[in-house]
Amino acid sequence: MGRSYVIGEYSEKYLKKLKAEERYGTTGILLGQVTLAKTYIVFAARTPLKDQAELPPENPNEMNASDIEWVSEHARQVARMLPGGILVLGVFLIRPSKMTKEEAHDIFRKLATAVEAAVAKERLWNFTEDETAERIVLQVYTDSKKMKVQAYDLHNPQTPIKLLECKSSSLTAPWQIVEATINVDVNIPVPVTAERQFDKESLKGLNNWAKQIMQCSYLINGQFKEPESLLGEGSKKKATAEVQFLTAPVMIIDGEVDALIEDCGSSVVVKGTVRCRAYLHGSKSKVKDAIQALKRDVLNTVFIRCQMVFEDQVLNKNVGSLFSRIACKVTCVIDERLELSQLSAVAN
Amino acid sequence: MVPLDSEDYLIRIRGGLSLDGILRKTDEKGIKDGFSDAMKDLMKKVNSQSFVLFGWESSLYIWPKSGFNTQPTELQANSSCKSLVKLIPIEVNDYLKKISKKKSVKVEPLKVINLELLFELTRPDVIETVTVHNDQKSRIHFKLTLPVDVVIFAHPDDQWIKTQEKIVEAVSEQLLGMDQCIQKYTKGKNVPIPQAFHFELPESTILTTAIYPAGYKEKDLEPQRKELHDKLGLGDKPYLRRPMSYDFPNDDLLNKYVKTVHKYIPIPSTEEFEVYVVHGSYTFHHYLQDDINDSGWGCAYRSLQTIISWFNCQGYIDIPIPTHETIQKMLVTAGDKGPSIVGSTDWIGSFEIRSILNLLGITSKIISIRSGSEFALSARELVQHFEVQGTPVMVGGEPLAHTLLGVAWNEETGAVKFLILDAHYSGEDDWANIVERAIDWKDEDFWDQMEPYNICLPQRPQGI
Repeated sequence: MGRSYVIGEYSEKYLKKLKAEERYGTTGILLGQVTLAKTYIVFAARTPLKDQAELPPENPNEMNASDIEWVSEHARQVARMLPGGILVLGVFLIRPSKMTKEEAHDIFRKLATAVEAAVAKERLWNFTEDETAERIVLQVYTDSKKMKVQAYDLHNPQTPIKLLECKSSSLTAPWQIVEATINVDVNIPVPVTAERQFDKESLKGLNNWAKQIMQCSYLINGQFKEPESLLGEGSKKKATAEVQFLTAPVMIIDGEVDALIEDCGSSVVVKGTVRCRAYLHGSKSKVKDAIQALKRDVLNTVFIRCQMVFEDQVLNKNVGSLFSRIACKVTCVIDERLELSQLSAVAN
Repeated sequence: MVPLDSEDYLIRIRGGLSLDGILRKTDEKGIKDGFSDAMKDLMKKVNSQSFVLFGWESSLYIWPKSGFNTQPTELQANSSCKSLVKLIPIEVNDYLKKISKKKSVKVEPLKVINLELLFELTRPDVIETVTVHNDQKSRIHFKLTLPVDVVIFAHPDDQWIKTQEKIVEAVSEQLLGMDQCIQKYTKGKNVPIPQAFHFELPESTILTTAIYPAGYKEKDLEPQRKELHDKLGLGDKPYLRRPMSYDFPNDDLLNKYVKTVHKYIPIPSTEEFEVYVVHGSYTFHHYLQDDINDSGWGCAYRSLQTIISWFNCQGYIDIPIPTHETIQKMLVTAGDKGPSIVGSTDWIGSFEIRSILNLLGITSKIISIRSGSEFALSARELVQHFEVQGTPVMVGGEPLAHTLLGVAWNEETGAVKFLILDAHYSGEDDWANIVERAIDWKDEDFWDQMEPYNICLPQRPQGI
């Protein structure tokens, strides 16, 4: 079954503008939402040039490893700010059409893979089997009106690259929003053998917590709703649905006799209240997709906050006991995020 | 005992509640204190707005503290417990309704409402800023899932609000009991998981819950049982051994065999008789059961199976119910019979039963009765047996063997009745048929007046 790609008006205009400015050699990332049948490109953002250069490089056909890394790092930073439901879909390139097919495909695949890998580092969750592993490279040709989308299946490198039609659409229909305010209280023991007592490895301890979140049950606007039912069904035309999460029933393992008591060298405690949100395109989203997107946002929010603390520590070279306070009051998180309603306003 | 005709609902609340924490101290006391503190936090959570009850297989979620629930039109503030059963499928053994009312005591199958314990992750009582804190002094991480299992009884007309409060109290109480178990049984870095068991007691119409540490043998828990017996005035017959815990309706439905069938028939009038019956539970074994065709020769084997089931149910042994062939092999091991018995249809009697019980560490007494007409003379001894030992008895005659589960005795007139479980029953394992045809109080003329009998009286091991 072919997946169709839809590019929003805003992104289309943005890319045409870049092309008109003759910014050949410009690279950037594409953001949007992947649904069962379609991928929506909602936003495009140009990767800032390295070394504060004014213009793109002279020979824009070449793209070396350090360029790929640069774009990937941009993608990673942007991914941190995305609300639930919105992903980094791939990259765009503004190039004259002079690259040979083989060169192009080779570089593009590397690019798509590197970007996805960088963004995946920020995740405590994995895609499910039925979610597509297709990521795209969108080429904007400087000497034609065309925009060529090539899709790469990152799980199966042998799959032929798909050349796709990219339909454009205004994407101004209101998005459905789900929100939750969630309590976090996680103890992460750090093994005695850990090389550095307080580093990114410690955050692996969040994995158990992440699993618990992905499995917990939910209520939408105070009601139980079947996973396969439509999110918008039965409720008034409210744009935002409030979600409640309830701990999953814990399996009591037969034959388990003692408590787990393990030694540790230190511990990391993550505690507080976090506000999370996910956007779903259109009016036909299913409850299970909305919940999955929101849960992933919960994981992202907490994980990224923790990561920022660690990075903070490295920069400040703090030694010993570190107590770092990140203010995550209800409105604050929203401010840091790309507001999609603001985006569509720009598009119009 | 829980009345067989009770109108009450049994509300059962279960869930795995997590204790997870970090300690700075590594000694036993540090660990015990750590668990105690964690338990106190858990109790606070249970009494907070984030504690949620969920009806199994329903769409009903209830917040006991705030009174909110997901089906407010059906379950309102002043609703009675009756409203619950309209929203949550009940656990019940409907087969009991098929027992013939002519022969049985009044039976109203017990209705169980199953609830699950959850915590809401999204309704904080307090909104706190997110902090990420590194503690360099942490030395131990502990993690334990408490298998909470609470039962309370409620009348259908009871106010749901009041019942809700009772549930929260009962859960808190169980957590306290579980903490006591941890404090008592933790040794060094070994912290056993506390487990809840529910028991029927003679003077109570509700269930009594005891909390025991996992991983301990029955005999090692005897001191704790003795304490409980003293506290509850229970005497020296066992009531609180873990295998004796109460069978809920689904347990009965899942069990291959029918348990403790004599409780469904009335006892002889206590104005005329003193009645003594078997103590505790057993499963009923009979001809043709388990697709083994032993019709005409297997009755003593079946009686032995019932006796062995009694020792299993009370937790004195733990073996699968032996087949006829296994029993025969055991006789060869015991030196009682030659190998040719294995695979044969040979009869066995009280002496063989005694040998096999011996192999399992169980002693027995044998009474020999010269002829059936003299059965009543042994009344006193049988009364004593059921009063003190309380085990099922095998009565072996030529050619029939029967399982004797109790006697009713009029000391003045000397009249005796016998509670007989018929090993020759060859029908289905369902309550209606078994109560109808396989269990009965018989008169003295039940025995063949001319034939001799050997009665095997298994002895209950010492202790409770």
